[in-house]
Amino acid sequence: MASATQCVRGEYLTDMAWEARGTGWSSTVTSQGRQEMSRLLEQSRDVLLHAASLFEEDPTPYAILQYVALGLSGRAAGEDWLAKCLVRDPYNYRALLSHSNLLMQKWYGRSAMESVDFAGRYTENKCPKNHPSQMVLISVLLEQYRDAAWSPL
Amino acid sequence: MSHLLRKFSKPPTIDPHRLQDGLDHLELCEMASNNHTRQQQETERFIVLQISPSLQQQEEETPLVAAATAVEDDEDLDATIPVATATAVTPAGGAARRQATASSQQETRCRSGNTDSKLMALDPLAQTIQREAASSRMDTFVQEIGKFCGKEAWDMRAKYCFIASENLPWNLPDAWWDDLVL
Repeated sequence: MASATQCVRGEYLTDMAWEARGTGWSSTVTSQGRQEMSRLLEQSRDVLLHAASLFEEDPTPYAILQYVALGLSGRAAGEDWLAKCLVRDPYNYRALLSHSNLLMQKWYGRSAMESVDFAGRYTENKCPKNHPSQMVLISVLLEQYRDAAWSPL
Repeated sequence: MSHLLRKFSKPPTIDPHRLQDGLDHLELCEMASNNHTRQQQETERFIVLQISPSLQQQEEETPLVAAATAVEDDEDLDATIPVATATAVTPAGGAARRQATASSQQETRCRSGNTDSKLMALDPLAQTIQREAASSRMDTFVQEIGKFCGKEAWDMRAKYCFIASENLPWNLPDAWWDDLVL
Protein backbone atom coordinates (compact mmCIF):
# COMPACT_ATOMS: atom_id res chain seq x y z
CA MET A 1 0.00 0.00 0.00
CA ALA A 2 1.40 3.38 -0.96
CA SER A 3 2.60 5.89 1.60
CA ALA A 4 -0.15 8.37 0.81
CA THR A 5 -2.78 5.69 1.30
CA GLN A 6 -1.41 4.80 4.69
CA CYS A 7 -1.29 8.44 5.68
CA VAL A 8 -4.91 8.91 4.67
CA ARG A 9 -5.83 5.78 6.57
CA GLY A 10 -3.98 6.90 9.67
CA GLU A 11 -5.58 10.32 9.45
CA TYR A 12 -8.97 8.72 8.97
CA LEU A 13 -8.60 6.48 12.03
CA THR A 14 -7.48 9.46 14.05
CA ASP A 15 -10.52 11.39 12.89
CA MET A 16 -12.78 8.52 13.87
CA ALA A 17 -11.12 8.31 17.25
CA TRP A 18 -11.66 11.95 18.05
CA GLU A 19 -15.20 11.76 16.79
CA ALA A 20 -15.79 8.84 19.17
CA ARG A 21 -14.51 11.00 21.98
CA GLY A 22 -16.75 13.92 21.07
CA THR A 23 -15.89 17.57 21.15
CA GLY A 24 -16.99 18.31 24.69
CA TRP A 25 -14.85 18.89 27.74
CA SER A 26 -13.23 15.80 29.19
CA SER A 27 -15.82 15.53 31.92
CA THR A 28 -18.46 14.92 29.26
CA VAL A 29 -16.64 12.04 27.54
CA THR A 30 -18.27 8.68 28.17
CA SER A 31 -16.24 5.62 29.11
CA GLN A 32 -17.46 3.97 25.92
CA GLY A 33 -16.29 6.96 23.90
CA ARG A 34 -12.96 6.90 25.66
CA GLN A 35 -12.44 3.20 24.99
CA GLU A 36 -13.34 3.53 21.34
CA MET A 37 -11.04 6.49 21.00
CA SER A 38 -8.13 4.53 22.45
CA ARG A 39 -8.82 1.56 20.22
CA LEU A 40 -8.88 3.64 17.07
CA LEU A 41 -5.84 5.67 18.04
CA GLU A 42 -3.87 2.49 18.69
CA GLN A 43 -4.84 1.31 15.23
CA SER A 44 -3.88 4.67 13.73
CA ARG A 45 -0.54 4.65 15.54
CA ASP A 46 0.31 1.22 14.14
CA VAL A 47 -0.62 2.22 10.58
CA LEU A 48 1.35 5.46 10.74
CA LEU A 49 4.44 3.99 12.39
CA HIS A 50 4.45 1.28 9.77
CA ALA A 51 4.19 3.93 7.05
CA ALA A 52 6.99 5.91 8.64
CA SER A 53 9.25 2.87 8.67
CA LEU A 54 8.51 1.96 5.06
CA PHE A 55 8.86 5.42 3.54
CA GLU A 56 11.92 6.93 5.08
CA GLU A 57 11.65 10.40 3.58
CA ASP A 58 7.99 11.12 4.23
CA PRO A 59 7.40 13.31 7.31
CA THR A 60 3.61 13.08 7.04
CA PRO A 61 3.08 9.99 9.23
CA TYR A 62 4.94 11.63 12.11
CA ALA A 63 2.99 14.84 11.62
CA ILE A 64 -0.33 13.01 11.88
CA LEU A 65 0.98 11.03 14.86
CA GLN A 66 0.92 14.25 16.86
CA TYR A 67 -2.81 13.76 17.16
CA VAL A 68 -2.26 10.20 18.37
CA ALA A 69 0.09 11.59 20.99
CA LEU A 70 -2.53 14.10 21.98
CA GLY A 71 -5.18 11.49 22.66
CA LEU A 72 -3.22 8.38 23.52
CA SER A 73 0.52 8.32 23.76
CA GLY A 74 1.28 11.52 25.60
CA ARG A 75 3.82 14.28 25.48
CA ALA A 76 7.02 12.23 25.37
CA ALA A 77 5.84 10.30 22.35
CA GLY A 78 4.75 13.53 20.70
CA GLU A 79 8.19 15.03 21.19
CA ASP A 80 9.88 11.91 19.86
CA TRP A 81 7.68 11.87 16.76
CA LEU A 82 8.14 15.58 16.21
CA ALA A 83 11.91 15.19 16.29
CA LYS A 84 11.73 12.40 13.75
CA CYS A 85 9.41 14.43 11.56
CA LEU A 86 11.66 17.47 11.59
CA VAL A 87 14.64 15.40 10.54
CA ARG A 88 12.69 14.66 7.38
CA ASP A 89 11.21 18.12 6.98
CA PRO A 90 12.61 20.79 9.33
CA TYR A 91 9.66 23.16 9.01
CA ASN A 92 6.74 20.82 8.57
CA TYR A 93 3.69 22.97 9.05
CA ARG A 94 1.32 20.25 10.11
CA ALA A 95 3.67 18.80 12.70
CA LEU A 96 4.58 22.16 14.18
CA LEU A 97 0.97 23.23 14.35
CA SER A 98 -0.26 20.04 15.98
CA HIS A 99 2.67 19.88 18.39
CA SER A 100 1.91 23.45 19.42
CA ASN A 101 -1.58 22.28 20.19
CA LEU A 102 -0.21 19.41 22.26
CA LEU A 103 1.83 21.91 24.27
CA MET A 104 -1.20 23.97 25.22
CA GLN A 105 -1.90 23.90 28.90
CA LYS A 106 -5.28 22.29 28.41
CA TRP A 107 -3.43 19.25 27.03
CA TYR A 108 0.18 18.63 28.02
CA GLY A 109 1.65 22.10 28.39
CA ARG A 110 3.52 22.87 31.59
CA SER A 111 2.55 26.51 31.49
CA ALA A 112 0.13 28.77 29.73
CA MET A 113 2.93 30.13 27.61
CA GLU A 114 4.69 26.94 26.57
CA SER A 115 2.77 26.51 23.36
CA VAL A 116 3.22 30.14 22.38
CA ASP A 117 6.92 29.98 23.21
CA PHE A 118 7.38 26.86 21.13
CA ALA A 119 5.52 28.29 18.17
CA GLY A 120 7.32 31.57 18.56
CA ARG A 121 10.74 29.94 18.51
CA TYR A 122 9.99 28.29 15.21
CA THR A 123 8.15 31.06 13.49
CA GLU A 124 10.45 33.80 14.64
CA ASN A 125 13.84 32.15 14.60
CA LYS A 126 13.90 28.94 12.65
CA CYS A 127 11.50 28.99 9.74
CA PRO A 128 12.63 30.80 6.64
CA LYS A 129 10.84 34.00 5.84
CA ASN A 130 7.57 33.43 4.03
CA HIS A 131 7.45 29.75 4.88
CA PRO A 132 3.93 28.49 5.66
CA SER A 133 5.03 27.52 9.15
CA GLN A 134 5.25 31.22 9.90
CA MET A 135 1.52 30.81 10.37
CA VAL A 136 1.85 28.49 13.34
CA LEU A 137 2.21 31.21 15.95
CA ILE A 138 -0.82 33.01 14.59
CA SER A 139 -2.82 29.80 14.77
CA VAL A 140 -1.75 29.15 18.35
CA LEU A 141 -2.73 32.63 19.43
CA LEU A 142 -6.08 32.33 17.72
CA GLU A 143 -6.67 28.98 19.40
CA GLN A 144 -5.95 30.44 22.78
CA TYR A 145 -8.20 33.38 22.20
CA ARG A 146 -10.91 31.07 20.98
CA ASP A 147 -10.62 28.82 24.00
CA ALA A 148 -10.78 31.81 26.27
CA ALA A 149 -13.83 33.07 24.46
CA TRP A 150 -15.68 29.77 24.70
CA SER A 151 -14.42 28.76 28.11
CA PRO A 152 -17.19 28.08 30.61
CA LEU A 153 -14.90 29.26 33.41
CA MET B 1 5.44 39.42 14.08
CA SER B 2 6.25 40.94 17.43
CA HIS B 3 4.83 44.22 16.24
CA LEU B 4 1.51 42.42 16.13
CA LEU B 5 1.89 40.90 19.57
CA ARG B 6 2.82 44.22 21.10
CA LYS B 7 -0.61 45.44 20.25
CA PHE B 8 -1.99 42.81 22.64
CA SER B 9 -0.37 44.14 25.76
CA LYS B 10 -3.55 43.25 27.58
CA PRO B 11 -6.15 40.60 26.73
CA PRO B 12 -8.55 41.84 24.08
CA THR B 13 -12.29 41.52 24.29
CA ILE B 14 -13.34 38.82 21.91
CA ASP B 15 -16.59 38.08 20.21
CA PRO B 16 -16.46 34.29 19.59
CA HIS B 17 -18.34 34.64 16.34
CA ARG B 18 -15.91 37.19 15.02
CA LEU B 19 -13.09 34.96 16.10
CA GLN B 20 -14.57 32.02 14.24
CA ASP B 21 -14.66 34.24 11.19
CA GLY B 22 -10.98 34.76 11.81
CA LEU B 23 -10.27 31.06 11.91
CA ASP B 24 -12.23 30.54 8.72
CA HIS B 25 -10.28 33.32 7.11
CA LEU B 26 -7.03 31.78 8.25
CA GLU B 27 -7.95 28.50 6.59
CA LEU B 28 -8.91 30.36 3.48
CA CYS B 29 -5.54 32.07 3.42
CA GLU B 30 -3.72 28.79 3.91
CA MET B 31 -5.60 27.17 1.10
CA ALA B 32 -5.78 30.05 -1.27
CA SER B 33 -2.29 31.05 -1.92
CA ASN B 34 1.22 29.89 -2.28
CA ASN B 35 2.28 33.46 -1.81
CA HIS B 36 3.02 33.26 1.88
CA THR B 37 4.11 36.84 2.24
CA ARG B 38 0.75 37.97 1.06
CA GLN B 39 -0.94 35.25 3.11
CA GLN B 40 0.79 36.29 6.29
CA GLN B 41 0.16 39.96 5.77
CA GLU B 42 -3.50 39.32 5.13
CA THR B 43 -3.83 37.17 8.20
CA GLU B 44 -2.04 39.60 10.47
CA ARG B 45 -4.19 42.39 9.21
CA PHE B 46 -7.29 40.34 9.72
CA ILE B 47 -6.37 39.31 13.25
CA VAL B 48 -5.85 42.87 14.31
CA LEU B 49 -9.16 43.88 12.85
CA GLN B 50 -11.09 40.94 14.24
CA ILE B 51 -9.63 40.48 17.67
CA SER B 52 -9.17 44.06 18.55
CA PRO B 53 -11.81 46.12 16.80
CA SER B 54 -10.63 49.18 18.62
CA LEU B 55 -7.57 49.06 16.43
CA GLN B 56 -9.63 49.50 13.31
CA GLN B 57 -9.33 53.22 13.47
CA GLN B 58 -5.58 52.96 13.77
CA GLU B 59 -5.57 50.53 10.88
CA GLU B 60 -7.36 53.04 8.73
CA GLU B 61 -4.87 55.72 9.63
CA THR B 62 -1.76 53.58 9.17
CA PRO B 63 -2.28 50.44 7.11
CA LEU B 64 -0.89 47.53 9.10
CA VAL B 65 0.25 45.64 6.05
CA ALA B 66 2.62 48.41 5.19
CA ALA B 67 3.78 48.61 8.78
CA ALA B 68 4.31 44.88 8.93
CA THR B 69 6.75 44.83 6.10
CA ALA B 70 8.71 47.66 7.63
CA VAL B 71 9.09 46.16 11.09
CA GLU B 72 11.86 43.63 11.33
CA ASP B 73 12.71 43.56 15.03
CA ASP B 74 11.23 40.34 16.30
CA GLU B 75 12.63 40.16 19.79
CA ASP B 76 11.14 40.28 23.28
CA LEU B 77 8.06 38.32 22.31
CA ASP B 78 7.23 37.04 25.74
CA ALA B 79 7.10 40.46 27.27
CA THR B 80 4.02 41.42 25.34
CA ILE B 81 1.94 38.30 24.79
CA PRO B 82 -1.34 38.39 26.69
CA VAL B 83 -0.60 35.92 29.44
CA ALA B 84 -3.85 36.52 31.21
CA THR B 85 -5.79 35.36 28.19
CA ALA B 86 -3.71 32.26 27.89
CA THR B 87 -4.01 31.29 31.53
CA ALA B 88 -7.76 31.31 31.23
CA VAL B 89 -7.46 28.09 29.27
CA THR B 90 -7.10 25.66 32.11
CA PRO B 91 -9.88 23.05 32.06
CA ALA B 92 -8.96 19.41 31.89
CA GLY B 93 -9.71 18.52 28.32
CA GLY B 94 -10.82 20.91 25.66
CA ALA B 95 -12.20 21.25 22.23
CA ALA B 96 -11.51 18.70 19.57
CA ARG B 97 -8.16 18.39 17.96
CA ARG B 98 -8.62 20.58 14.96
CA GLN B 99 -7.19 23.98 15.50
CA ALA B 100 -9.01 25.70 12.73
CA THR B 101 -12.31 23.93 12.20
CA ALA B 102 -15.50 23.62 14.18
CA SER B 103 -15.80 26.17 16.90
CA SER B 104 -18.04 25.48 19.81
CA GLN B 105 -18.23 22.46 22.03
CA GLN B 106 -21.85 22.08 21.01
CA GLU B 107 -21.10 21.51 17.36
CA THR B 108 -21.06 18.05 15.87
CA ARG B 109 -19.03 17.50 12.76
CA CYS B 110 -20.75 16.40 9.64
CA ARG B 111 -18.74 13.79 7.85
CA SER B 112 -18.96 14.31 4.15
CA GLY B 113 -18.64 17.81 2.81
CA ASN B 114 -17.21 19.15 6.02
CA THR B 115 -14.52 21.11 4.28
CA ASP B 116 -15.49 24.66 3.58
CA SER B 117 -16.87 25.10 0.09
CA LYS B 118 -15.05 28.42 -0.25
CA LEU B 119 -11.78 26.60 0.17
CA MET B 120 -12.71 23.93 -2.30
CA ALA B 121 -13.58 26.47 -4.95
CA LEU B 122 -10.01 27.70 -4.90
CA ASP B 123 -8.35 24.36 -5.39
CA PRO B 124 -9.40 22.01 -8.19
CA LEU B 125 -7.38 19.11 -6.83
CA ALA B 126 -8.97 19.54 -3.43
CA GLN B 127 -12.35 19.49 -5.15
CA THR B 128 -11.47 16.25 -6.88
CA ILE B 129 -10.24 14.67 -3.69
CA GLN B 130 -13.34 15.75 -1.82
CA ARG B 131 -15.63 14.37 -4.49
CA GLU B 132 -13.81 11.09 -4.95
CA ALA B 133 -13.42 10.51 -1.24
CA ALA B 134 -17.09 11.11 -0.62
CA SER B 135 -17.78 8.38 -3.18
CA SER B 136 -15.24 6.04 -1.57
CA ARG B 137 -13.12 6.11 -4.71
CA MET B 138 -9.62 6.38 -3.50
CA ASP B 139 -7.30 5.10 -6.18
CA THR B 140 -7.26 8.19 -8.36
CA PHE B 141 -6.78 10.83 -5.75
CA VAL B 142 -4.28 8.93 -3.70
CA GLN B 143 -2.04 8.75 -6.72
CA GLU B 144 -2.30 12.52 -7.02
CA ILE B 145 -1.47 12.96 -3.35
CA GLY B 146 1.48 10.65 -3.80
CA LYS B 147 2.99 13.04 -6.32
CA PHE B 148 3.52 15.62 -3.61
CA CYS B 149 6.84 14.62 -2.15
CA GLY B 150 10.07 16.41 -1.45
CA LYS B 151 11.09 19.52 0.38
CA GLU B 152 8.64 21.93 -1.19
CA ALA B 153 5.68 19.57 -1.25
CA TRP B 154 5.34 17.83 2.09
CA ASP B 155 2.94 20.43 3.41
CA MET B 156 0.71 19.99 0.39
CA ARG B 157 0.78 16.24 0.88
CA ALA B 158 -0.38 16.60 4.47
CA LYS B 159 -3.10 19.01 3.44
CA TYR B 160 -4.53 16.69 0.83
CA CYS B 161 -4.35 13.70 3.18
CA PHE B 162 -6.40 15.76 5.60
CA ILE B 163 -9.00 16.66 2.98
CA ALA B 164 -9.25 13.06 1.80
CA SER B 165 -9.68 11.70 5.28
CA GLU B 166 -12.20 14.34 6.18
CA ASN B 167 -14.45 13.44 3.28
CA LEU B 168 -14.38 9.65 3.34
CA PRO B 169 -17.58 8.03 4.62
CA TRP B 170 -17.66 6.85 8.21
CA ASN B 171 -16.81 3.35 9.28
CA LEU B 172 -15.05 2.02 6.24
CA PRO B 173 -14.15 -1.57 7.05
CA ASP B 174 -10.54 -2.68 7.32
CA ALA B 175 -11.12 -4.84 4.27
CA TRP B 176 -11.81 -1.74 2.20
CA TRP B 177 -8.35 -0.44 2.99
CA ASP B 178 -6.70 -3.81 2.68
CA ASP B 179 -8.14 -4.27 -0.79
CA LEU B 180 -6.47 -1.14 -2.08
CA VAL B 181 -3.59 -2.07 -4.28
CA LEU B 182 -1.78 1.13 -5.08
